[in-house]
Amino acid sequence: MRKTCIIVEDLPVAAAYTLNCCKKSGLLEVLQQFSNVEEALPYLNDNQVDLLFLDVEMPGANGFDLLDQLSHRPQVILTTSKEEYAYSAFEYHVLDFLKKPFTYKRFQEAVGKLERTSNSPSLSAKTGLEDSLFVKTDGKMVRLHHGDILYIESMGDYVKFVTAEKKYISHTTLKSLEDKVNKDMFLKVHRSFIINLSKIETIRENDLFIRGNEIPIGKTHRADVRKRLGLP
Amino acid sequence: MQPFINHNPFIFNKNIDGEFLFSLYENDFRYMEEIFSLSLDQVQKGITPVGEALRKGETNLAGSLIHKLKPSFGFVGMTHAEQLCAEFERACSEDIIFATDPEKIDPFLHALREAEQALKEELEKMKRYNLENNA
Repeated sequence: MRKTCIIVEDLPVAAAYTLNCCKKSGLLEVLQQFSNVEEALPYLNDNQVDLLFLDVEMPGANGFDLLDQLSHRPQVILTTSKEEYAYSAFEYHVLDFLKKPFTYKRFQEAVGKLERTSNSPSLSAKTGLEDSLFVKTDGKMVRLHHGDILYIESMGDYVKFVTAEKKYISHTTLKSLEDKVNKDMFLKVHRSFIINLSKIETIRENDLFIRGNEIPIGKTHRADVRKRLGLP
Repeated sequence: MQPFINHNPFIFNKNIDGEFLFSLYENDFRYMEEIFSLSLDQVQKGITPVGEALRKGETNLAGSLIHKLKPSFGFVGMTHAEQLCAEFERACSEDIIFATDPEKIDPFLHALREAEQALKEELEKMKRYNLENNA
């Protein structure tokens, strides 16, 4: 069954291109297209859609203004030609970020994430703990919310979980954590580091900064980091 | 299935990245004609306001206008024009002196006009190609 979507984009060529990608995929039914936030907002608040393709810079209010005003949010794929918005994209927990002009293959990767998130609702419904993990530290089990974790660092046979308030040392391995953390929120950027993507403040070729902490980006992880952040 | 062999290939203008266009559209020249037409329309409408805003020193406005013009070049494989737009867009917010310097503005606008002309010619060529190949 096809998922429903709408396109909010003021540039006609970009809107036409996105529409064509949606039709070509066979997975999406485009219900409406809008060229500004003012027209899109009431439609989205009155209608249920699965996915929103959202441009950022438009006349009047911008894409982030729209997200702030939605009463209920569909999954969102941001489309923009400015890679600086990639960071805000993760702050808003969007599904993906497509830098225009994006290839059809890149489009398919983004839409594929919609399929994966909609195929795993049962896990969220069952446990209610999908947004956290338990770590054994100082003789007790501590629950850490994913959103509080800045990054995770390997220290030999131990792992350090760094939050804004505190650091937690646990006798475990980074490898075992890779399957436990939310893959949409976290990314391994180095053999010794897994980071929370939404906490990135600045990024350079070989490293990035989270709360003033310099974290290296391993050579073998660079391509993956750039891909996840939608960087060229 | 035999691989498709195009015996009448479309040769793109040297200012256009044909390989990149293939990654966007494969060999769908009918669809590409639609995209080129939409992009040309945007470019033709967009360059004059950009020039006016830059010459008046309205860099915020100019930056927004260039931001919209930039992908129009990108979607037609004009990566050089797209890159020039990206540089000027950045200058409008980070290097006002550069963005308001007539010695930088004039060559930038000249390059955009040249790209516009090349895009117009390419679209005409594509229309003829599609007619000849019944695409």
